[in-house]
Amino acid sequence: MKLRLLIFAIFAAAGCQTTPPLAPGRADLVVHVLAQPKTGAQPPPQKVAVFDTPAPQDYGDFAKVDYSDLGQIVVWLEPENSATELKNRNPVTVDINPSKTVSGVRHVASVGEPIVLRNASASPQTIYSVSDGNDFDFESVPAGGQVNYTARSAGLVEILTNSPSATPVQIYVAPSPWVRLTRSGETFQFDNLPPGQYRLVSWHPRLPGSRETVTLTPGHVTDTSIDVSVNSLPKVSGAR
Amino acid sequence: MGRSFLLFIAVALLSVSSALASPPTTQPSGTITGKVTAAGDVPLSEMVVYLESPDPSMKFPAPAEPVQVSQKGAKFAPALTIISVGQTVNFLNDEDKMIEHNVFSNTPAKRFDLGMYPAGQSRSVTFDKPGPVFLYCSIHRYMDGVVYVSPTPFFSRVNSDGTYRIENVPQGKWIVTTWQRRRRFKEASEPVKVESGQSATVNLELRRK
Repeated sequence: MKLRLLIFAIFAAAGCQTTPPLAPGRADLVVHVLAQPKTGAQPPPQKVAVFDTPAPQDYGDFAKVDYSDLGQIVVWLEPENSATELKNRNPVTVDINPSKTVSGVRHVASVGEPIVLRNASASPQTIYSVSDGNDFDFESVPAGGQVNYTARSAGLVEILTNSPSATPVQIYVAPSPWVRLTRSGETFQFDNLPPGQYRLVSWHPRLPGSRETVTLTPGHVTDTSIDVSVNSLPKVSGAR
Repeated sequence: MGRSFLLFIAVALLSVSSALASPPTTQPSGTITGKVTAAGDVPLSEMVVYLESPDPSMKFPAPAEPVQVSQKGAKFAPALTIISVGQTVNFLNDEDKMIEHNVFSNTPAKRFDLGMYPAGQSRSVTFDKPGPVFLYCSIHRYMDGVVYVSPTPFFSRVNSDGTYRIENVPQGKWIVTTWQRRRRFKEASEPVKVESGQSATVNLELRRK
């Protein structure tokens, strides 16, 4: 074990990309994330003829989805047979500022985990949510002040303020402490996991995610990939 | 027993059986009107008010006529379509250029993929569960819309001033409920009794908690 740590330290000092050594009796999971376009669809660089002149940078309403860089993909790992506990997790801190529009899911948290909501605006704000299973209401949070909310239920939580035109801040709450916010083309790793059977689940605000079983064995790094794609949806009769 | 008496009995039986076989042509009905209000200057136009029956076993025939949703200019029009459970929506690709669309939804009330299809073609979906169904195109990133599937054929889109009106509501007990496309408040519900030929007023107030 000391030799492994020494090798790791040498590689790290040399700037080489490597992974930390496995803890005894633990397992790692490497996840490759890929979002796929509709089978047969042309990729975004393929310009639609009508928009070739004068070849605008932006296609306006006809802008295409870039699946090679699709964001807002949430991935989590749920043990098949046992409950998990949150241990020494740092709370997620979310800045709330109605004058700064940030659309889409930008944060992830876990059920039972405290979320710090910080009023990043220059005036007092009501910070609240009416999302199912995660409704709360903090009447008046002073500018620069913060409040804590502990996520009760899994799912998308939209955080609102008393500014009706502001875009809600979106947080995805996973039913597990092993959760990542990722994007297409990324590879990441869940480290130091108890061995056993898990469900690897992915979610996206629009596209269907995936769900698969992975078995982690002690002392091993398991490699897997997930697809987020419209192709898994039921097709209506005659659809291709 | 004379022939005229037997004829009378036959006519009477025929009348009773035909009355039992066919429903009354006009059902006693009333109207529900009201106003939805919310704290703050919140636009309410993308909002639905619909009726549910307190008796979950009650079923209502869906309108046979399908509803059409356009995709011209990579936009769903209308952006909010309200239908009844069991009703069909035709998704017409009415682009005037050779542009394909791929309408899909991953919403629990209806998961479907219409596949890619060119301008001039249409695809249909029948919606069999109540609730919102969010629409997207897998090709065009800004294309989004929603079909709200009401549990009954009695619904109204809320006007920008918060008013609504639901006509031809069969007499009896109902629950009036709201649905917001961009949810800022808890949904509101109120029971109401509709009398034949009468108009009932149900005002709904949306609250944060």
